[in-house]
Amino acid sequence: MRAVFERYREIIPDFSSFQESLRQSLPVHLRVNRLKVEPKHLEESLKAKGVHLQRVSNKYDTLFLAPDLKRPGKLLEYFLGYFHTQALTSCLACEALCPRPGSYLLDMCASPGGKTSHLAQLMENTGLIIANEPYANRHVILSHTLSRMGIANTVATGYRAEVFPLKQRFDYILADVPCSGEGTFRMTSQRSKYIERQGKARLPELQKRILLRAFDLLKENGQLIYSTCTYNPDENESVVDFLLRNRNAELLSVDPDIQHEPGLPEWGKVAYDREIHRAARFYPHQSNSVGFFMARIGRRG
Amino acid sequence: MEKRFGLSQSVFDGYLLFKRQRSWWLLGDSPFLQFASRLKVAGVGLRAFQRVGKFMKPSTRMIQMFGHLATRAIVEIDEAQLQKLASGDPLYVELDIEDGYVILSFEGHILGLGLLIEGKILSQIPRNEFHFG
Repeated sequence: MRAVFERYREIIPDFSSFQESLRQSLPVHLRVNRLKVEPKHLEESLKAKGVHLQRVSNKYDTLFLAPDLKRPGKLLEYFLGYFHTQALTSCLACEALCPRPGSYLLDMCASPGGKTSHLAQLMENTGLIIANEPYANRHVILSHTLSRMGIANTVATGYRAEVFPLKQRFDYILADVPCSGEGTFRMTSQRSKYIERQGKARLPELQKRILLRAFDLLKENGQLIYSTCTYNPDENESVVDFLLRNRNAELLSVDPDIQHEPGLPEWGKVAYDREIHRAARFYPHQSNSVGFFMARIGRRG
Repeated sequence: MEKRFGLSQSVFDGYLLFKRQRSWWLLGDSPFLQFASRLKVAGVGLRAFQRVGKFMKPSTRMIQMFGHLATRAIVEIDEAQLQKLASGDPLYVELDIEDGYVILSFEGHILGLGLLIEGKILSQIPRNEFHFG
């Protein structure tokens, strides 16, 4: 069978295992909503229904693999907002940002609200989150997710992320930007070939503009996470490198407790800033989740 | 809320209520709201109440958030009754509670509201959310 993402053969370690992982279905992970229930109580409750949760790491006590979870929407616990099914790697972006309770946070591309609700949980439903979603038709699902999870510290806005008003500064910013989504691809019975998203070539320009705006919205001691679910260095390291060359920014370490690779030192014969190695790349054959990229950024000095 | 459910006003200390058309929305108070007020806002917090005729009906999600603090008008149901309500069927009960909204509780979990009228409880929880396989 022909390899998928052949252009990344030299940068993805153990490429054959990576290919093999793409033939497996995406595993089901869930995040316990600590605003409503303690993890051990949910574990017991779901165990009684034949759903056995496996904690993914000692570091993250709300993140679980749920291999037996077939129809989460049919569970009482789902209706009650006790958990949210969410890719493990996407949860790591919020864990890495780790916003303090009582702080001021901007989620630049918030819908469908999985990460927004996770951030609200980490903030213990205090402080204020601006959940910005540029696409009006995605506001309904955003509102529904936040409502189900009992989130009461969030205000929704609808600006294009790259022109979010510069009237204020934030303690924390999540820029989980529109991307080509390569990390979500799996070869299933319906799909055996990766089909490039329309407009993929234009994405890096948009992503750079969003990241610049995100940085300009940060307070002096603020932190921001830039993240995507793609393997494409043009949408990942290149965008972060662009920021480092145009702003007084520095990359901070992320230290996720899930197997990952550092940011690439170069791509297409272009060498990146030395700090890029502090970014993290997640591959499905290592993390057992969606392919992902994240970088934690602050103001230098 | 206090008269019906025993939920005193102090339960909402630290929250603000915003009115929009026929709904009231609950948002945690924060010093950052002065900055957020400069933005074009599309939605605020959690819907807490909705005007239904002459009455202010608490929302399912608001009751799930605060219902555990209620001391009155709570109806504990069993699994069979839960399935019945989720199917859209009424429950026939004999309760020493005046007609009106009641808080539905199942195995200690606050589900939302029911409407008690002359010995019959009808679920007020949105049908498209309240279904279990």
